[in-house]
Amino acid sequence: MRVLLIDDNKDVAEMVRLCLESQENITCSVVGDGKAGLRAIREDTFDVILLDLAMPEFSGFDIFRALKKEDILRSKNVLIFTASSVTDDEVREMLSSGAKGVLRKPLSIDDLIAAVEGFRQNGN
Amino acid sequence: MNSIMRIEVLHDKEIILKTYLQALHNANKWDYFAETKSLLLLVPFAIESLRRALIDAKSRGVKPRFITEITKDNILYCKEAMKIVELRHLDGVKGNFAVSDTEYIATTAADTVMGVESDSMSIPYAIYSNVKDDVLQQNYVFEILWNRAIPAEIRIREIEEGIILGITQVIQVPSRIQELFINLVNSAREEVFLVLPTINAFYREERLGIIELLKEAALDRNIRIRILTPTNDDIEKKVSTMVVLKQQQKLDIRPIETTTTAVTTVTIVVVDRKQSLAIEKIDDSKDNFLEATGSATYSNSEPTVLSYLSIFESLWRQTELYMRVKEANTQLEYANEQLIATEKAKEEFISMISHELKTPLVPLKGYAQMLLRPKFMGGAEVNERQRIAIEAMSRNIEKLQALVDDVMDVYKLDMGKLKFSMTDTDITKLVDETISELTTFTVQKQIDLSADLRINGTVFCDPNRIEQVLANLIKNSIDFVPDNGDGKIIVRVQKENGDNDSNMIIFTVEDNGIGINPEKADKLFQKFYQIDTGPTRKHAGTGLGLVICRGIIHAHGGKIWVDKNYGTGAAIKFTLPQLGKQAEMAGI
Repeated sequence: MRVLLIDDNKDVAEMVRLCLESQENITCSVVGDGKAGLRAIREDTFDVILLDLAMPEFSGFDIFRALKKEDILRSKNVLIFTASSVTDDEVREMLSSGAKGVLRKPLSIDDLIAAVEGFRQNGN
Repeated sequence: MNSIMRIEVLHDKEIILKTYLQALHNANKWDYFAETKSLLLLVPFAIESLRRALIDAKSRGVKPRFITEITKDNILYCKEAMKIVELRHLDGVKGNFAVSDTEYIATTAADTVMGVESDSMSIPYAIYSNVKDDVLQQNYVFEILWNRAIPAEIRIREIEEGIILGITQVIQVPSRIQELFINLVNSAREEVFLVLPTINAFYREERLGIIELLKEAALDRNIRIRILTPTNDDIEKKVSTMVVLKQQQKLDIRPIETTTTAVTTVTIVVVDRKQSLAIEKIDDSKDNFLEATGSATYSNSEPTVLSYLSIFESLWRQTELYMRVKEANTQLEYANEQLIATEKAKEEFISMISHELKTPLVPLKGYAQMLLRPKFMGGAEVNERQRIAIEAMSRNIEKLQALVDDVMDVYKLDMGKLKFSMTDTDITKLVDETISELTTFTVQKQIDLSADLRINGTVFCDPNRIEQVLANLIKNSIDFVPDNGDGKIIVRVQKENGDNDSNMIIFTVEDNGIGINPEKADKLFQKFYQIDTGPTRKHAGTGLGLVICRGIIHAHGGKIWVDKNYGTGAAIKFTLPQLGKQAEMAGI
């Protein structure tokens, strides 16, 4: 299965990539800025998208809003992947807008793997 | 006393004076109406015989009454006259007559009577009558004049204090009102104040040329113009073209609300604080001034003009007040925007801090976990020393993470930015879930953690936050109870004072640990306070847990405290309003 990670922190991104790619049949692409991230979501298909929120210039929020506006958010498996303080109400709002989950950083690798594996389809 | 009825024309000066003195001598009452000129001549009492006759009459009980026009030129003589006669003032006195209870003498030239030479070319003559009806008629005429005249004292004071006694009259002819209106504006020397009652009034006065006249007056004659008028967009546009005049403080037009003024039906113009015209309209829908106007009251009488002036000024002040309120509102709106921006900045700051503190923990935590599992390390196993080191790192990463979470919570509480998602929460479920989350710790330490719920149903709260409070208290107890199998922690929930009608629910977390020194109990809720400090400290925790607990409970409208009377071990209690904060405040 193909995972897209959009995160501007290289250490975080590399750790997540190594962690996920240690699993069977997972490839993880990393994009370090928001604009490129949005392009990747539009142009390619991924089984799971891990979306960091706080990024300079074009943030995860901007990507989130763009996807929502283009009405493709619900068709994607977007997991919010954030270290920012997000209130319960904000989480609810993101989920009702079409995000598939919210992962608060830092999190254990088991939780990370479980969240991603949840989207593995049969035979993949 | 002359009992023969006669009406006579007298031509001879001597005879006139003699007849006059005789009449005065006969009189039981003596009323005299005389124009200024004659009084001026009379008062010095150049004619001693006349003066004596008056004093004589007074001594008989006659009260002589005089009416004349008192001016600043004759004021001294009038004061003299007042010593002998009762004097009143009337504007524009012309002619002379004296009337007693039985006789009447009228002259055209008073000098004649006084026997003083005049440069007038008129032939001196007087009319004398003692015909009863004639005399009565003249008595009646005098009485009317007397009643219209004002006491000399008032008139003299007005002159001496510089007050110009004016007239107040009602004008009922619209064309005359229009003429007067224009003349008034043209006569202004210093200032014109105008109150227009309606928008149509503005347009009518504009059509009449009044607005233009006022502009000219401001421009050409440097006259200060103030206009109060209801406005619409069109009028405001017109007013804005006069802004230059306004800047020079020559012409100021201010809006008034038609509904807020009591003089809405009247156009008021006050000129130089000396003249006023109040124009009543009969039909505001008419475009033409003449058709719209009913009657008007003109006055140059000071009290009347001042009344209109005060109406104008109070309305003017009202607009100032209104403008100030409007300005204050604008400032408040600005302040509010600033406040909202500040609040937003606070939230962004909190979010940013959280992000900055937590992000470095992400790879630390991830890699620390991965290092211990060969699967993630390409099959490489760690040796024992490495394992110990990595586990210590892991533990400390967890601690750091807990500290960051707590610091963020405290920070948010301090800033009033901790958000609560309030909902009706099942009490049993809340407690059971909290307990089951902690069983890994209690089982490990062989601690008996149980619940004693004396009530069920729901409590209005943020379940995650209350669970956080309960978990925090239980974790504290876990740290302090013995781990030899005797450790015991009980979570109790009951109504306050056992009173079922109370809205307050009491939660208690009690244990059989080392207990809390009552003297230190209150410090427990201070930031970073830990009872057990120094190298002997064996208990974990950030020192912020109870501070956060207190903040959360207070935000819910409850209280949290240490039960100092609890025997061995510790008991911390907190209350929550079952129906929520508002219900508690309303006393439900």
